Amino acid sequence: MDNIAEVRNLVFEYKDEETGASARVLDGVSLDVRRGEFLAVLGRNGSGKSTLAKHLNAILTPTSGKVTVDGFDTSDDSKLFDIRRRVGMVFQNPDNQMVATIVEEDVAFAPENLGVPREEIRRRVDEALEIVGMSAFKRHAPHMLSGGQKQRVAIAGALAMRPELLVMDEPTAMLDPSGRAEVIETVKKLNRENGMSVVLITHYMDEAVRADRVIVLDRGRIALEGTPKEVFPQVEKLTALGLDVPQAAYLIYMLNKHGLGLDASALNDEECAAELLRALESRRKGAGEP
Amino acid sequence: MIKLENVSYTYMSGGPFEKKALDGVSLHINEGEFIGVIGHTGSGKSTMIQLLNGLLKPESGKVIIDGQDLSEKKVNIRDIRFKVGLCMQYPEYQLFEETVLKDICFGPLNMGLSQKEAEERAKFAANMTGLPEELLDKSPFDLSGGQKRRAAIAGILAMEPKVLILDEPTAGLDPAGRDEILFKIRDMHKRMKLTVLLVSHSMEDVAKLADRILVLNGGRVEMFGRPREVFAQSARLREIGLNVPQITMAADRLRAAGVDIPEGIYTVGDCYRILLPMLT
Ligand SMILES: Nc1ncnc2c1ncn2[C@@H]1O[C@H](COP(=O)(O)OP(=O)(O)OP(=O)(O)O)[C@@H](O)[C@H]1O
Ligand SMILES: Nc1ncnc2c1ncn2[C@@H]1O[C@H](COP(=O)(O)OP(=O)(O)OP(=O)(O)O)[C@@H](O)[C@H]1O
Ligand SMILES: [Mg+2]
Ligand SMILES: [Mg+2]
Repeated sequence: MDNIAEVRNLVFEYKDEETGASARVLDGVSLDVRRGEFLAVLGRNGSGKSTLAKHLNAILTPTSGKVTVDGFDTSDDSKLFDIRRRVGMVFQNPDNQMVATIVEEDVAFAPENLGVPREEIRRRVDEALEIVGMSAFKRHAPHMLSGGQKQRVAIAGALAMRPELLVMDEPTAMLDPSGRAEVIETVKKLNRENGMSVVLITHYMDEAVRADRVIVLDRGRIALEGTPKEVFPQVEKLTALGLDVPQAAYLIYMLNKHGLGLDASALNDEECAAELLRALESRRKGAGEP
Repeated sequence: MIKLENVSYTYMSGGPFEKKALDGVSLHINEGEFIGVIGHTGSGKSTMIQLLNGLLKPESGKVIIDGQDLSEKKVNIRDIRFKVGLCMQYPEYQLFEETVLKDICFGPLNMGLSQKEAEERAKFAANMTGLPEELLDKSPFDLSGGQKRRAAIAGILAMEPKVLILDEPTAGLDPAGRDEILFKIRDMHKRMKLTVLLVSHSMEDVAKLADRILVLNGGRVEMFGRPREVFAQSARLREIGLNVPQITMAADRLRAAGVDIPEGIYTVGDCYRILLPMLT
């Protein structure tokens, strides 16, 4: 099977217990998460990203439509264990995720639930804490950590599961620039070397640029989909969807308003500088020749 | 307006996990300044700002707000809390009322405002943070992450503090919401001479807004200066877990390749204005 997850015509409504009223939050989403793919999910606040993520490990199940993970239907209760052991989740708010009173126990929680042998758990926990740079804190209580430190522990918890699909809901929101870069590098490495599929929800465009593919949600529907190089040159469309583009891409967009015809698919500082140098060079040559 | 004199703070002093989070911090912030606070994870940012409204007490040194030394007995910490509005790093946890509106009214009511005044302020603040009116009657627990954050910020704004301290207020906000709220805060800061401390991991945001940038590193002050001065030290910033805005990196690359572009470029606008004449 080529897809680790398939979402077909997913409709989801939150029901208000008291009034019985329902609000449609996902409105016919269809999406494949390809095996080994790194997919970024963008969209404004309230567009349905977290709700979609919670469908990928059966915390929520469709009001109508269908979600399968590795072929298992998330609406089938008897498949819950098969689904959850394949999908590692990092929730939007790390505090909601902390379950134990000591960091290393917290990281061990998911693999313990999966029945991983003790020795193996120890290895995985040490490794995961090492990856996120939190080894020195392993005997600490989670509530004594700074915001970014908690977030790192939550990521370690998901990594220790060795999931086939890692779903991360704004995992870097509280991290410093190096921490953010490290997390994205780590995820890219696991994606490349171990073939782990990744769904990354983020409001940081420079992180989305690193994905293989990007989807943008808007009011519960997919509004835009493509590779970063296809999506990010569409500055006006993205702005209308409540998003922005990396500064490098924005500079080129502004300059292109003067008809400079620069390559708008330059998405980071390196590509941007290279493209500008090329343009400066060709202009210099053009001016030098009578 | 704000003065720290040799302030230190240690968590769990004497215990096995003793942690010196702040170590001899001295600084001075003028009334009406917009300060960006940056620093690596665990550098002491949240600790420092909790000292500024009396949530934490310094282990040594002095915290002086608007001429009042917070360690003096006669100082009423309640008044300090109204004067210094603090939006915590995970403000979602400060939400606890039945409805979003009640939550935003909580601070103003606590200050002794009438129900009517409190609601007026709350609606104004909700609007400032881009919370749609129809969400005000919802339970705060049924909001999305970014909506909760907007509600929490609105709750602080509704108190109309003299000093506004925001600990990573835009984490979890979509880019449009982030710009909208930050620019409204800058507006308030300008119109009402509001003193603002913005803790952020976004070098881009801090570069756009701050008059001065405070850089913490391992509980000490590493730098405190204008954005131009701070972002000229890109190598040192990277060493301590930080960075410069992406546009500064692009400009640095161009300069390294021989393009005549000055140092200390830190907004897209600046870069654009310099490059456009070279390219047209
Ligand atoms: N438990 C709930 N009950 C009722 N409505 C909810 C609940 N959780 C979320 N919603 C609503 O569903 C919509 C989508 O929420 P969701 O959390 O999926 O958004 P999101 O895209 O993750 O947003 P954010 O970027 O702010 O995290 C929002 O309008 C929100 O108010
Ligand atoms: N309640 C606590 N008990 C013990 N140690 C703590 C506590 N809160 C914070 N610390 C420690 O104090 C140091 C400074 O933490 P602080 O929360 O001030 O950092 P920060 O700069 O805000 O980091 P972040 O960017 O991750 O939010 C960290 O090493 C942290 O582990
Ligand atoms: Mg969300
Ligand atoms: Mg903090």
